Amino acid sequence: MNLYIKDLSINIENFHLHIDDLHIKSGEYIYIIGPTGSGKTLLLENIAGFITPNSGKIFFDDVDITHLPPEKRNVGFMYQNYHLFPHLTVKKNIEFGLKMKKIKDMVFLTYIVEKLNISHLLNRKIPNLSGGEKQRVALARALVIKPKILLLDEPLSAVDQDTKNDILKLLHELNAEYNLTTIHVTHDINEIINNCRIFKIKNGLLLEEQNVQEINYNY
Amino acid sequence: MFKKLIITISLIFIIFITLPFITVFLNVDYHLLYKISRSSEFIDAVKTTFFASLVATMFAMVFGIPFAYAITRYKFPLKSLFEAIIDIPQTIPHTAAGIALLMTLGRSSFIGKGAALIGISFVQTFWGVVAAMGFLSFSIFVNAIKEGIRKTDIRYEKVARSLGATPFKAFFYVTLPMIKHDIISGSLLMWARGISEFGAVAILAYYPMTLSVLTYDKFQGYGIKQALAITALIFIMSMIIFIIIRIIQNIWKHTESR
Repeated sequence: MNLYIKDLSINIENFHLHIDDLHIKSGEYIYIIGPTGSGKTLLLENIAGFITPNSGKIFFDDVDITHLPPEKRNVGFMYQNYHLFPHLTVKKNIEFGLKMKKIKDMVFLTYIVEKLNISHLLNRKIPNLSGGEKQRVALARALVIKPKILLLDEPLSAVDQDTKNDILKLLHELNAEYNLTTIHVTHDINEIINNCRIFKIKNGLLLEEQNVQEINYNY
Repeated sequence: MFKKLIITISLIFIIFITLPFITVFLNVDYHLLYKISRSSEFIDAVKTTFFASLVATMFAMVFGIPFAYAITRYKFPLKSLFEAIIDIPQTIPHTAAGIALLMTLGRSSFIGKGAALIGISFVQTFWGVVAAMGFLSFSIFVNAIKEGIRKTDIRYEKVARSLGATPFKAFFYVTLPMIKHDIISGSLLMWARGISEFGAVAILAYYPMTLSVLTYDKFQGYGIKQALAITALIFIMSMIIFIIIRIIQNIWKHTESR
């Protein structure tokens, strides 16, 4: 699914975020980098519909979804700390979206669970999972609803390097397999895979598209 | 040195709290205590007290949880004022609160006349006891819920919304279960506070008698001996209730951690 953002402007207290023009092609995996507090999460939350912009438009393909509530956007969202529901088991966390959307198809759920290698965790409670396990469960929860777009807010910042590499590989595999438009926000340039487009947010402005070498030099 | 000082201060504090309890049990007439414990007057007072406080707590759940949610999650004009209003009953003498309630809910008041149409009166009735208990302990419940919602990251609700939950479903399936401990502890605190209410209850609804009113009534009418026996019975019941609550909480924590 294509994502197009035009003249988006958000003012929250003393912070201002402005996106002139951002076009992400269907199935593309892009990175957004920038220092803490630069507005990266705010941009993702806008795309997800958690925050309404002061002005500007957001389009999914050619449909204006600027004022569509989050539950109708079909966007997968994963925060840095995963925000798995602690009162539910792993299985119920993953099924949550299906229950809300009244989807009864369990075949895809089983496939995703196996793909992410978390079948053995289904009856476990969230506080008893490791960081890497939580990450896979959060990813499964976001994917089972077959989102049109996947928004990842620093998804790898809380895990060790080995887990980070595994999950990064998995994210790119899923992106390729489902042609799933993915926006990956990070402040760690080591998470960037070479052939992906990269955007940089600084002081609330989406500055420029750069390649990995430039990022390594300038960041 | 510091540690010894802290422990000494703590011991003095504990003695200050427990001394009245010990004094009551050292001076009570146990034969009279047994006799009163079996009297219908005492049993009725127990039922009225516990049940009225329970009903007040249930009303608090219906109104207090949405109120606490609105105060915590939304921005709107006069929010600070609304927060302060909820705490006002805590800061005024309870007898004054009783007078205010009598004027607001009395038979000649607008609400009193309206309630009379559906057969409810607040003066000298069970519903008066509920109103007095609720008015003075509602803020305890609301503050517990506010604290619970405040410490629950709003991002849980946002994730739920992204998964297809409407605001109501996100609240019902995510926020509410996540603050269940705060709801339970807030309810218990409010219920316990309601049980101990005297001033407002005595003015709005002296009858049916609650335990606090009965204690006062016996003290005024029959002297310290009878009042002491009822006081000892109240202490025993309070201790049993809080021991049971602690056991339940511990069992709950143990099962949840597995």
